Amino acid sequence: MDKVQLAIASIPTQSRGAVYEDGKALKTGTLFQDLDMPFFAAIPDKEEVSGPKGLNDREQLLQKINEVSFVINDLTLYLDMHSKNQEAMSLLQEHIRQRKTLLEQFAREQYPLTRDCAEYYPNGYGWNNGPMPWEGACV
Amino acid sequence: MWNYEKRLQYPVKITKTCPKTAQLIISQYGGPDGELAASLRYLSQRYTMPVKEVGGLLTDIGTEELAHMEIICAMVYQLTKNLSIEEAKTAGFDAYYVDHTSGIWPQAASGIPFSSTEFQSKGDAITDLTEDLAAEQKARTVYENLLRMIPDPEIQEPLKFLRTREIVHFQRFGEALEKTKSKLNPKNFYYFNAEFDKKMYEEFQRGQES
Repeated sequence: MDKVQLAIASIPTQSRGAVYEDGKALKTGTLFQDLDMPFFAAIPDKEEVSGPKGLNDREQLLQKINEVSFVINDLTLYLDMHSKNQEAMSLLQEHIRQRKTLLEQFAREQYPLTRDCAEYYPNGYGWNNGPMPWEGACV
Repeated sequence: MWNYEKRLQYPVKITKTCPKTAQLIISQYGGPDGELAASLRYLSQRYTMPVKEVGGLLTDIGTEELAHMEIICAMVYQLTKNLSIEEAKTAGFDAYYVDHTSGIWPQAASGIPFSSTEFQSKGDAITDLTEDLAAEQKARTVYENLLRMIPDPEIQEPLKFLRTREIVHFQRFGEALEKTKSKLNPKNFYYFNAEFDKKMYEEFQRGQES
């Protein structure tokens, strides 16, 4: 933002700033520490360590996929508006690589989460396998 | 086109039946500031955006809003899936139950059905982006109103996540507005509508380049 003008809204452009680690980013709802502005009535988080407890293998892997994928979501929106930011770009590439590996592992060990990773599922069609996401088994 | 991924963007695991809470949260599915309206708003506005990156941002945020809609629906579903007739009667859920049993249907907390009159696609980039900024703030207020009323952490966690997303999207739409402004004459942003008066917009762009 060069100059504030009359009769139109102005929002300062975000500089990238400090980022959270993946688990904390998902828990908070943003990767960017500068955009983390909590609300008083939301219960403060006592446990600093991110992520739910008592998860089985499937749930642990899914949690990791959720975390890595969320960082990609938030970075995508950032890069839509700051396409020349190299740091954000390398962070995005690193997470895309991680996500690919995790999706492949999930398809091999559980069931495919996307149709593109159905080829890794060893026992047939597989797209109907696993609980539906809204069933609540996906924590 | 879109591809489905068999997971929620943020996990939802609600262990208690509570139709009263479902009745409130459903507003973020089909209510005036809900996720369905948000998604359709951005996905409708994107086609005619004069700045390409802004059309891209609207696509990406509109897509994310679909994932938020799914989170809200999952919450309503889990809060009502084991509903007994006694609970349906006592919890203020009775009218919804008569019309939809425990099916998921887009409506506001007040019972008003979802309607596209809840958002605009005005064909003017400044107008639409200003609407989008307001939309994110309105949704943030709804999430805060819900958080004040619902102390249960199982329900608060996804609501907190969704509230933060509103703040992030507000920032991005602000940046999109700045990007759009940078392509217009700073002395008068309103001399022409870049989406409709395309020749004037193109001429202005050429003038800037030379």
